[in-house]
Amino acid sequence: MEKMYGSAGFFASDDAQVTVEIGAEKKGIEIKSKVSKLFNAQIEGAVKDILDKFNIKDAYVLIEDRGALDYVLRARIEAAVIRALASRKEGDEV
Amino acid sequence: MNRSLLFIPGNAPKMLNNCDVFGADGLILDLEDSVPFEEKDAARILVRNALGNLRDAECELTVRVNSKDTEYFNDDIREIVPMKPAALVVPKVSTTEDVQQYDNAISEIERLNGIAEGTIKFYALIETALSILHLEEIVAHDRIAGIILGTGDLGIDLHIKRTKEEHEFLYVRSKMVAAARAYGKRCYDTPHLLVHDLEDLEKQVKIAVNLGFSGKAAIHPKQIPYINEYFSPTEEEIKRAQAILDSLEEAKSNGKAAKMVDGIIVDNANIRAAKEILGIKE
Repeated sequence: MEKMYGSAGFFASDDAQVTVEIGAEKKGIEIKSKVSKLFNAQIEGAVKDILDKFNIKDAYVLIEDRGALDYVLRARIEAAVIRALASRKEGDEV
Repeated sequence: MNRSLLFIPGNAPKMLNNCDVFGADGLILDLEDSVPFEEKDAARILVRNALGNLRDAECELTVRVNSKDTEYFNDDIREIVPMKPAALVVPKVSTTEDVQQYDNAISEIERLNGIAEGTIKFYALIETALSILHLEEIVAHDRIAGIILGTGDLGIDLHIKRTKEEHEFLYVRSKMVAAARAYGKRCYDTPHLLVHDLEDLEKQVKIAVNLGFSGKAAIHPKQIPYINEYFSPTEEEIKRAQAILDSLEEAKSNGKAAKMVDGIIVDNANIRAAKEILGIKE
C-alpha cells in the first residue's frame, strides 16, 4: 500500500502539530507534550476516535502539543487524516 | 443588543479559545480573508469544533464563509451549517440574486441536517460598487439579518482615494443605514483598520453612531469597549427616555396630552425613540 502522509496544525501556543502516516511500517501514537503525563489518555482517546471515524485501522500519529484544548486537538487530527487520505492514489485501501 | 461584531481568524486557536471573553456582542469566526489558501481545509474543521466549544457563550456566533464563487464555499457550508451558528457572514453580495444563491445553498444543507429552512440568517458584506445600487433588494431578503460595510474591497471597486477621515464613504454609509432601517434590519460600520490608533477609532465610532448605524465591526479586542460604550445609550439618555414615557403615562391618566420633557416635545417620534432606548418593543 502506498504510504499516505498528512500534517496539520502548528507548533505554537494553544495549538498542536499533528502528523499522520498511513501505510508506513511504524504504527501507534506518539505524543510529545509538556502535559503528556496528565493528558496522555485523553489525547490517545481523541486520536482513536478520529481514526475510527475514518475507519482507519493502522496508522502512525505524532502529536506535538503546545497546550491545545481538546476541540483544537481533534480538529488538527481530523485535518491531518483528511490531508493524508487526499494524498492516497485511487484503488488503495486503508 | 448587538453593538459590536469582532472578527476572529478561523485558524488561530489562541484567539478562538478566548474570543467569548473579549466583551463583543457578536463574533465572526473567519474562514475567508484571514485564512491562507493552504489552511482553508484545516480552518473550517477548527471553526466547526470551536462552535461546539462556544455553545454556551453569551454572544452571537457567526461565521464568515468563503464566497460562493470559490472552491471552498461548498465544503465550508457542509461543515459549518450543521453547527447552527446564528448567522453566516456572506461576502461579495452584489444583488438579490447573490443572496438567493446563498439562500438556496444553505437551505439544502439545512434540509439535509433536519434544520428548519431559514434558521441560519445572513449578514451580507457590502463591498462592491454594484451592491450599493442594489441595497434595498438585498436587505429586503428574508435571510438577511443585517449588512456590514467592507471598505477595503469597496474602496478598490469605487476607485476611491482613501483618507483617514473617510468622508469619501459618507454616501455609502448613509445609504446603507437608510436601506437597513427601512426594512428593520441591522447595519454595521466597517472595522477600523488602524488598530493602535484608538483616538481615531473613537472619532469614527461617534460618526457611525451619529449616522444611525446599529453597531460597528472590529478586528481587535481592544476596539470593543469603545464600540460598546458609544453604541449604548448614556445614563442621561436613559433617564430622559424614561421621563418621556412617564410623562406620557401621567398625561393619559389625566386625560391630557403630554407636552414637553426637558425641552423635548413628547411626540410620536420621540416616544418611539424613547422606547428604542429602553429596549421596549412596539
